[in-house]
Amino acid sequence: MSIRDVAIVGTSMTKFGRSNKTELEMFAEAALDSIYNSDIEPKNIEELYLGNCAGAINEGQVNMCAHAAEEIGLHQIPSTTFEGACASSAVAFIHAYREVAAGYNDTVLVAGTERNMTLRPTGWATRVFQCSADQRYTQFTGLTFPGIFAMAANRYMKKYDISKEAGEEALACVSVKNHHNGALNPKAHLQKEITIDTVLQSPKVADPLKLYDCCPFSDGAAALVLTSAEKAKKLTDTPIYVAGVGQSSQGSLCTQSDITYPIGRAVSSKKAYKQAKIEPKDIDIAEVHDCFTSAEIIAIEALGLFERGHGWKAEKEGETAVDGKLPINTSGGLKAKGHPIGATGCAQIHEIVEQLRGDAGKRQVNKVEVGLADNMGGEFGTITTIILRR
Amino acid sequence: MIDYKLTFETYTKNLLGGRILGLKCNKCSNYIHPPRMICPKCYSTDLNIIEFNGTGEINTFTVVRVAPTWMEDIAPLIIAHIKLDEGGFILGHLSDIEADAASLDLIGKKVKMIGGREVKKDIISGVNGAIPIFQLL
Repeated sequence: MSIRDVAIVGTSMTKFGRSNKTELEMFAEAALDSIYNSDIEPKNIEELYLGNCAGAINEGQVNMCAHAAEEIGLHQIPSTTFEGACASSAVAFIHAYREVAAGYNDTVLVAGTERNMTLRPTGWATRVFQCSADQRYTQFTGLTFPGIFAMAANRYMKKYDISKEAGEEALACVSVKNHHNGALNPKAHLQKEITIDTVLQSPKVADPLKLYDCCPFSDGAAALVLTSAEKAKKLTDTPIYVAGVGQSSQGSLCTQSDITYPIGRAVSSKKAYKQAKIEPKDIDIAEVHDCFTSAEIIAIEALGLFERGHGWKAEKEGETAVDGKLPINTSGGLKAKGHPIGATGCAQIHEIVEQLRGDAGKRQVNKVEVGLADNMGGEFGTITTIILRR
Repeated sequence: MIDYKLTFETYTKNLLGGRILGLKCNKCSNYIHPPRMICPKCYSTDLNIIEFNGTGEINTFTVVRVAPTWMEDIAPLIIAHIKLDEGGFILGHLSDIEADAASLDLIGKKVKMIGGREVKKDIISGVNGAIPIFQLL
């Protein structure tokens, strides 16, 4: 396959949290900002790839892609909405990347937007999140998303013979670390430090997960501009290149034999490592899908970044901190930065780009050459791996 | 076109009657649950509907305390991911355990389905469904 190099030239995200703006309005802010900070004009954008998950249910808005393009003056360009639950905008990114790499397009806009927080009560949001699980054989049981990752946590503890107390403490360490990072990120939803006791004493959501093991429902949008490497060099001194991408799918929880090691994540990441011609040990920094604390431990193992059965210890011993061996979720992750579903994939890439450019402020990691973004939608249903380099 | 052998409608009716239906592949003898169009092992579409014996082993579990809006009145929900004896997995509620007594010791325990609980008019889809209910053996 003959493909050309592709680079990110501009990124942006709104502050995550509570917003009174609609999904289209938040999209418009992030999108135009990413276009302007790429040193281009809307008229240079040839196509829009938009990630959104539940706009149809929450706002009653389908066909969001068309309205999104018009909002920022992208008259008559092709515009498509991509939906892969919490991985929606990472899937949009991969498709945008492929079409620029293949030469169909030169300069495109990728974005994600979602409003989870402001519209309805928790029970409703919990029901809407369920929609990405199998409608027939998962949703009717009332198994929630915290429930799915609680099941994975319990299985993990049993499999590796970890006591409930030690396991819950390791989970809490993930939350404490991500809150610490989030406190250094002015765009984060939750900018406050917490302690292990904050987590352990918070209300139970789905055993063993408690409130502070769970990411918040957030509103927000993120956007980035992709172009050919050739054009990127003319636009910026710091183009960030797409080194490799991978994507995979899996059926419902009842079709998976080991939910502590989602095989789809191993498949997706291997594909990305192969294209980037690197191994997991070459990764300097990663944003992973920590919708729940247990999800982060499962992710770092399935990505091959930490040995199977050792991720929980690595979290406890600080190996994943900003100054640790392999910093994970320097942005604060979904846990503290927030999780506006359709915007999360692009927001993860935004953080990796900032780190690779040296623009991450107080949470900047030293000597970052290669970064990875891991995004996951549903009950391990849609998984993406995106590797970026300087 | 090959007919979809075991539909959700048929599956749910049987669940409410206390039976777990699945498929058996006539080519490689693989047992399939939940139902699918094709055998995931050998890709044959020559499948027969069979009744599973309703027993299995708890692979993992959780206690859902913050429930979706249509189930808030029956929370907490003790939900298990169960490996069925024939093969495949099923999600079901455990009816004979107190929420606060659920511990990691449940994993590996044998369970049997005792019936299905009807769910009427889901708030989003409007569809009826059923929850398999299990007890420890």
